[in-house]
Amino acid sequence: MNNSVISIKNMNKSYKDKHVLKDLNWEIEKGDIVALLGKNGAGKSTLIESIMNLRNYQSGELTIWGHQWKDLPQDNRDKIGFVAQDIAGFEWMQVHQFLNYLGSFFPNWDKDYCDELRSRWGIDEKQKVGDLSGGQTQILHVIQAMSIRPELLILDEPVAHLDPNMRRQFISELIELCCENETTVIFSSHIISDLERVANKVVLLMDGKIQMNYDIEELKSNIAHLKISSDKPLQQSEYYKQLRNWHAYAGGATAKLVFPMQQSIEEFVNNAPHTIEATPISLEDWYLEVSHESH
Amino acid sequence: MRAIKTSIWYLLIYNKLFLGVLSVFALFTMAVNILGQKTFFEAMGLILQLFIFLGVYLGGSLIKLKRNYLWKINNNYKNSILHGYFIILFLANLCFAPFLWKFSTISPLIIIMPFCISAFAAHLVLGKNVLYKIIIPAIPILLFQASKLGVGFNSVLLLIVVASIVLAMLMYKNIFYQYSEHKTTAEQQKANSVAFMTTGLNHKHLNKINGVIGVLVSKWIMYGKRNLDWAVLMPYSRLTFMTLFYVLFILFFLSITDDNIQKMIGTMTILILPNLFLGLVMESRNLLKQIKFFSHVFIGENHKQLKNRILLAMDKNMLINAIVYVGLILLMIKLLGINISLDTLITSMLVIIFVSLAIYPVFMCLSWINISVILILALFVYAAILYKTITWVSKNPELATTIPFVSGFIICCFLLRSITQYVFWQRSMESLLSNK
Repeated sequence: MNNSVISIKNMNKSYKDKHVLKDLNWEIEKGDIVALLGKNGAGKSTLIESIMNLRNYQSGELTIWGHQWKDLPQDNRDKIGFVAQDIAGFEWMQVHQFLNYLGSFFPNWDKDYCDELRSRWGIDEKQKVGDLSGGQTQILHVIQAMSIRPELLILDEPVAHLDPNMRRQFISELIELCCENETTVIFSSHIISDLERVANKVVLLMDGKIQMNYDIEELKSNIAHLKISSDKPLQQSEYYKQLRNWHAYAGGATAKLVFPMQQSIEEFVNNAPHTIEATPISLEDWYLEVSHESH
Repeated sequence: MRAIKTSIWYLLIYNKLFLGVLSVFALFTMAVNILGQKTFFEAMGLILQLFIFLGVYLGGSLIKLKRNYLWKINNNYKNSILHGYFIILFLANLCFAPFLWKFSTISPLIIIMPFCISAFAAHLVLGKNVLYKIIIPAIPILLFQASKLGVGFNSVLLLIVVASIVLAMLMYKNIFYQYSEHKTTAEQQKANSVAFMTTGLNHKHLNKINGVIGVLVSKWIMYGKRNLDWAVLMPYSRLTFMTLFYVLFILFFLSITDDNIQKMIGTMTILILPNLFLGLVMESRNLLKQIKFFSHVFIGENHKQLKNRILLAMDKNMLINAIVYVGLILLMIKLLGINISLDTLITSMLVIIFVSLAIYPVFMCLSWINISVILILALFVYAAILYKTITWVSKNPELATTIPFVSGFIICCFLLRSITQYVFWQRSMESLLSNK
C-alpha cells in the first residue's frame, strides 16, 4: 500500500537569477512529523508555499495523496490545514468572527473542537485579531488549521513569535493532538531544540536540495562529540576522514561526527586505532555544524 | 542645510505612486493654465485642488517621520523636517505664482493662498484624532464663510494667512507629536499608504472603524459558505461607507458653495465615481494575500474557481457601491433642486459603471504600491475610454440612448471584460498574493 502523502520529484524554482530549489526530491509518508530546517533564505517558505500551490515552480512534479493539485479531489483539499509564515490579515475581525469566517470554507470544520482549542490555548474570542500579540496570532492560525481536523498539516514557522515557555508547551500539545488524529505534519522552524522533542524526521534544505532526511532517533544515536586520546597532537588520518571540526591538541584531538556512517558509533569507537570517548551532541549543535559545513 | 535637503528628499519619496499621480496633476494644471484663458474660479479651483493633494501627501510623509522618537528629543531633527516641509510648499507655490499673478488685482494675498491651503490640508492626515482631522482642514472653508457675513474678500484671505502662520507655529511647538505609532512594520506602511489613498484614513483608524462595523455585522459573516466578500474587501467598503464618505464630501461641497458652482456637481460626481471604483480595487488588491489561508480548498486548474469567486465578490461589491452612490446623488440633486441635465448625468454614470466593471480585472493584476509603466498605461487607457465615451454621450445625448448604441456599447464592454478576465485568469496566484 502506498503511504506517500506528498511526493516531490525534480522540483525547480528560480527567482530571476536566483535558483532557490534545484531538482528537489522529497517524499513524506503518512503519519510523519517532519521538521524542515534550513538557513534564512534557504527556500523553506518557497518550498512550503509551492507544496500549497501558492507558488509556481518552473519544472518538476508534485503530488499530494497521489494527485496533482489540479486533480486533487475536493475531499482531500478540505483535509489540508495550513499556517503561512505571513499571518497578517483580518485584523478588524474579532477572534470568533475570524474562526467562524475561515471555518465557512471547510465543510469538515469542527466548531466544538475549535472552541476547545481556543480556550485551551487562552485566546479570548471577543478580542480583535489586530490586537493579539504576534505569538497569539500564530496560535490563532494554528487553531484555525487544526479545527478542520486535518490529515495533512503544513506549518511555516508556526512558533517563531512565542516565548520559550509557551513555545515548548504549545508545540508539544500541538504534536500530541496531531498524533491523536494521525495527522501528517510538516513544519519549518529555526528553533531546533523544540523540534527534536516532537518531530520524528528531520529534513535539511540546503543549496536548493533536501540534503539530509533522517529519522530523528536514528540521527541522534549516530552523531557525537569525540575526544580521541593520544600522547601527541593527532592529525586527521584516513580512518577519521568522516569527522568534522577536527582540533588537534597535546593530548590527541577532538572532532564531531555529524554525518551518520554505515557503522554505529560503538563500532567506530571500538575499531579505532586510538581510545575514543564519545558524548552525545544536541540537534542544535548538529545543525550548526552541518549548516556551517554548507556555508 | 544638509539635514534639510535629506528631509526634503524623504518627505518627497514617501509614496512613489502618489507622487507620480501628483506630478501628472501638477503638469496638467500648468498646461490648463498656460493653454486656456481661465476664469478666476476655474484657475484657482484647479490649483487649490492640487495643493490640497500636495498637503495631504506631505502630511502622510511628515507623520511617518514624526513617529521617530528623535522628533521629541532632538530639535535639529524636528526643525530640519519642518523646514523641509515648508520649503517644499513654498517652492511649489512659487511654481504656480505666475499663474496667480494675473489675479493679484483682486487681492495680492491670492498668490500665497496655495501654500496656506496646503498647510491646512496636511492635517487631514496629521490630525491626531478624527476631530482634529476635520476641524483644522475646515478652518479656511469656515473663514471663507465670513464673506457671507459682510467681511471683505481681502480680509478673509488675511485671516487665512494669519491662521496658517499660527498653525505653522503650533507645528513647531510640537503639539501634534505622536510616538505611539512609532513601531510600524513594512506591511503596515504599505497598508497605510493604500488605506490612506483609498479612503483618506490611515491603517490604524481604518482598522478601528472596520472593527466597530465588524462587531455590528458579526452575524452576517458566516452567511454563505466560501463567500469571499469579507476577505477581499473591508466592512467599510463592503457596507458602502466609503461611498457615503464621497457623497458626504459632495454634500459638504454643495452646502458651502453658491448656485454657479453647484452646477459643477455633474463633473464632480462623474470624476468621483471612477475614483470610488479604483479605491475598491486598490483595497482589494492589498487584501488579496488574506486568501492564502484557504485558497487551497478551491478547485480548478490555475485556481480558476478561486479567481472567479474573487471577481464575483468584486462585481457584487462594486455594483452595490455604484447603486448607492448613483441613488444618493440623484436624491441629493432632487432635494436640493439643482438644475442639471439628469439624462446625461445618468447615462455618463452608467457608462462609468459598465467600463469600470469591464476593465477592473486588469487592475487586480497590477501592484498599486509602486508606480509602473503598465499601471500608468492601464490608467491612461481607462481614463481615455471614459473621457471619449462621456464626451460623446454629452454631445449626442439623444443618440446615446438609442438601442443600437446601447447594445453596441454593452457588447463592447462584454468583449473588454472577456479579455480582462482572461488576463486575470492567466495571472499566477503567486503574483496575485504578492503586491510588490
